Amino acid sequence: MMEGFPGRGKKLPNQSDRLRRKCSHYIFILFRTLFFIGIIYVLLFPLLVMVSRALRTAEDMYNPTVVWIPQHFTLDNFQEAAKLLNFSTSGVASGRIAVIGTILTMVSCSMAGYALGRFSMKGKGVMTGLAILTIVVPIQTYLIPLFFRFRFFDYFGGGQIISFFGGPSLAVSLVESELPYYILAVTGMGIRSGLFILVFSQFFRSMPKELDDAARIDGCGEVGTFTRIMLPNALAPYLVTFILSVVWYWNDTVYSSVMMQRQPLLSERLSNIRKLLLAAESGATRGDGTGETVVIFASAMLFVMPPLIFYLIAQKFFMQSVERSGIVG
Amino acid sequence: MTGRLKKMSVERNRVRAGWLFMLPWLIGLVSFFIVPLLSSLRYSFSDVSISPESIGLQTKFVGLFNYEFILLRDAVFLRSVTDAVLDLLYSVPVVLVFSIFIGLLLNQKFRGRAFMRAVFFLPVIIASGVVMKIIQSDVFTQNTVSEASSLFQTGAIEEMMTRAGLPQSIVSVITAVTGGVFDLSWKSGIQILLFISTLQGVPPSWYEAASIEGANAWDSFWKITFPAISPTSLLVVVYTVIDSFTDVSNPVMMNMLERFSSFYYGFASASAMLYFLAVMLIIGLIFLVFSRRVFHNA
Repeated sequence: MMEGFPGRGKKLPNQSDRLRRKCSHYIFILFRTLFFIGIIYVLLFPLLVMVSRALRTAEDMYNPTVVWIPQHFTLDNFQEAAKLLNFSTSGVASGRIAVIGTILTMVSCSMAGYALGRFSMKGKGVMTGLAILTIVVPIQTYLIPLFFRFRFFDYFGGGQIISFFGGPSLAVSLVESELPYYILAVTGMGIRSGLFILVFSQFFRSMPKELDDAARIDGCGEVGTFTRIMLPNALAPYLVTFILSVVWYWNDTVYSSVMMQRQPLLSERLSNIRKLLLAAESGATRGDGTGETVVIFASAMLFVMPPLIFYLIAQKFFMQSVERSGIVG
Repeated sequence: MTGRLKKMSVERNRVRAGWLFMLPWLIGLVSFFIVPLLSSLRYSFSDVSISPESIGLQTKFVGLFNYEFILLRDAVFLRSVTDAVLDLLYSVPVVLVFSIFIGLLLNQKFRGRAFMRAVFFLPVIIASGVVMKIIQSDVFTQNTVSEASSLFQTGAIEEMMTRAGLPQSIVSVITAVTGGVFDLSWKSGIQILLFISTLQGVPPSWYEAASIEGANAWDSFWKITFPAISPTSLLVVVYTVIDSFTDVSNPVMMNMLERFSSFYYGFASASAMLYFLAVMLIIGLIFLVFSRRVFHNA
């Protein structure tokens, strides 16, 4: 706790000192609570709007007396939204990409971050600069060349070498599959991987130097030092990466708009929800758009709920595990 | 003599191990970043058109034409880049202080802490363009607005407060503050998470020891907390700079993405190259100034 260190060493606290400290402590708690209530209002506002609209029937949209609490509760909107989004298929695909992509990202980024943070080699500064550059340059800048890398995938240039020596062209198209995601993730080029590399590098840099020496004296090789000494202590950056990366993969529309055009992922479907509504008769026949609005909000809810639930679970683990882990910093 | 040799070979082994740990990333970096980026660089010196017969782009070398056009004849580009840089000067310190402050608050033990953390993380989940666009376009206006704070400038809440009898001046202050806090929390979700994870790594025994030595809260913040979070602060500053530069609501980015999506590849690539050169310069400057002052466990 930050507040209220007793001034021991100088003089013993007396009665009035203690009272004053207690008072300021309660005033602090009061202000913190007020501040948090304000924040809750401000940040939950969009979510509340979403929930309120998703749970009402179309006719409640007309009704000016209905502001927050619907008169006619309904869950039908969710059913319709799930059908439109093809939730059971595209949601599973999105989730699979998010989880597998994240795990591969964690492996590649922690290794790269470990190297950048803990080994002194020539060109380390340049490599860190390149890691930063990968986050600075948005994907859109090189999305089309990148798309062609996967449209005519040549095994990291290996195919080109073979065809240069007269061999057959080995280029295959990986577009429309989940492979580009995994290949990018395992090579540390997944969504905002550069940030995770920096997080890991900062973390490993601030681990005590003696750990390596102790490990080496005990006969650990480089790999052993990494997997047995460093990894068990690196729960915090791993969890940060896990949480952020899953959410970013889930939310991504840039990659999915070019790599998965035939079977769009959930995010892509949601961003085209109006077109989907027009295509499905049920939405179009309502005419004036109020029926569409409630379904659109239900779709947004369906899209937001999985990462939200995931975060709540991950956070619980986050707080326990970090407090349990031994030597950190 | 042999000792020195042995030490050298240990060093060399470590360097080799370092590169091996980086290997997967190096492959990805070259194959999926540098090579595509170089094609993009080539586009920036070319007139690019989509070839009708095969899948691919046709390029015609035009030298520095695109750059010349952007720097000398495009009235908007330079001004909006300067605006973005000036914007950083106040937004980065504010985000940094705010996220440290919230990180400290959320690291304390109190009832409902998990809930509050989730509330502060909410923007990270919702801020993905898709959901935000739906919320903004449907609830309040028919056209999309880029600023998050515009959620609150809808008049509904203002009107409610005015009708409740509050003077106009106070109402407008309240709306401005709500909008400001909203924007700030909206931009700080990731930064707060980074600080919380760092703060959790600070052993409580350090604070106990400090308190036994007679340190007050102020002292132990500057002597314990601040050094402990300073590496993360550098990271947060760099990330905030990047985030604000590459935010899609940033005029430069908006312009650039529009050009990319309407297939003005030459112009778009050239302006992207110039823009990222500027961003990297600023980040290099930040590193130069701060990285020596950052406390690493020595």
